[in-house]
Amino acid sequence: MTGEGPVAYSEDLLSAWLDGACTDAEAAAVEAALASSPEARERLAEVTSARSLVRGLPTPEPPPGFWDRVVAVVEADGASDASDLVVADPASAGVRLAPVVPIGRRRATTRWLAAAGAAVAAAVVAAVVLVPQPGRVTPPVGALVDAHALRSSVQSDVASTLAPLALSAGFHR
Amino acid sequence: MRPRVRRALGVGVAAAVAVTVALPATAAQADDAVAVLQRARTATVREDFSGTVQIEWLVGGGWKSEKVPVSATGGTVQVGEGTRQVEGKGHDRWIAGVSGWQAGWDQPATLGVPSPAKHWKLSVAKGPDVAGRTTTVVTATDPRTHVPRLRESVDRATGVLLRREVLDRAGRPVRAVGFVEVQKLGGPRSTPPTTPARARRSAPRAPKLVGALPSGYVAPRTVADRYVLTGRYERADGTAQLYYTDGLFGVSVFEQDGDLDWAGLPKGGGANSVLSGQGREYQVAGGTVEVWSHDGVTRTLVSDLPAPDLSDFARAFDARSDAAGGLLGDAADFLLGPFGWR
Repeated sequence: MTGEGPVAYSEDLLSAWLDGACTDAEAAAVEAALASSPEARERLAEVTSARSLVRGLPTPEPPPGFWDRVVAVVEADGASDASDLVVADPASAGVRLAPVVPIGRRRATTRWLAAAGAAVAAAVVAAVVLVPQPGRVTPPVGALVDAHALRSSVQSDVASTLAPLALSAGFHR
Repeated sequence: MRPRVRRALGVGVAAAVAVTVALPATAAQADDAVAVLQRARTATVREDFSGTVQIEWLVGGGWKSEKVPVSATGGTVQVGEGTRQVEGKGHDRWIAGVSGWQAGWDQPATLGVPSPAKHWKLSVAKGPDVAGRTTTVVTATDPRTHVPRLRESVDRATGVLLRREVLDRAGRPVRAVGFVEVQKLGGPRSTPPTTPARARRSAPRAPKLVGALPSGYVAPRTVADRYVLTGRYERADGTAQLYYTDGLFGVSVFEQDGDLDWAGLPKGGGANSVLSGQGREYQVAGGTVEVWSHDGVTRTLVSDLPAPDLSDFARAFDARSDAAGGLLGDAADFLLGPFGWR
């Protein structure tokens, strides 16, 4: 225990609680609400369902030629303002680049190099942070645990194998 | 005949008689145990009951537990209440949620399950009282180590499973599901509830039985020379589910094309080395979970096996897929028609 004081329940805590990211006091507040409030349980079910849906979405990949266009823009803008760094068709790309802080237009060659460097750095950050890595998957672990129980119950004792599915909490129940 | 020879012959005859008597007795014990287990698995079709089940599982040296109301009425089993409710009849399963009932499973188990006596030494004895009921307990012991690994306590009067207790390699309990209260058990049967009929009207999203898996997945028929593949399914999100069993423990293998995105995993759990890559392991109410990537496929295992046993399964699964010569070799495993080994 951390010795913290009691925390009031709020729906904002549900997601953190499902992730096991609550403090002891926050977890206690959530669990008390779930035990006593049908609305809280319904909200939890909604949050759980929404998370499963989001996690089940396919991972978007950048369209063909996306990175070539980024490089081309960076190279072209080596002689202009780095704040012009945009993707030709961001909507089709399905991604958004991080905003680049404008660098004042300077004539000195070293300034151009700095601007180009900053733009490339921003593009790298965008690639790492904003664009999901291709070929990566996130198993919906909670849903898979439930799926195992459902399958097991067909060849095992039904009541004991289905029991974990009916718990009112999330994955870390 | 010399006295020494007579003595030796006498000892030999006695030993032969002892073996002749003991072997059938052991076999009879196993047959009895299998019969008790089989009766327990079908008890919900025959018996009505209601009560409270407690799930207990060990996490990091501490026990967690949860209680769930359960009932069986006219062959329909209901677990939980409100918006966390599951219902089963035959091979159909439905899950209640805020948006109503949804189909969770609708596939029959068509493939043969290995006999529990094939890999386990089974014994039957008078068990402890569970929730005030007299029980018969079936104990499954590892024949190699002579350590008990599973105990199932079955109601003596009705055959209903009252408690299932999983033990680790030292014979210590690590997981249990059992009744802590029995309100009704046996007696006249009641009319089943009507909720399944409502559920059928909802859009089914239950996994489908498939004869072949998409390219890139492997589905060995057996793993670790004991777990037999008894079903291949495709989930609505494209994940493949394979179900293996050794007759007592079931293991689901979920396969997804792509490397594991570690950041997307639920927090908690612990690191676990599976084959050459690092995996993550969780202990939850629903069982032990292992997640890892191998050769560009992310695998998630779920079972009520203890963690070391599930890790062994994971390693054997990877080794089996490698030894099969990759996808070409395993194609023979999953491009199958009906198969019904036992």
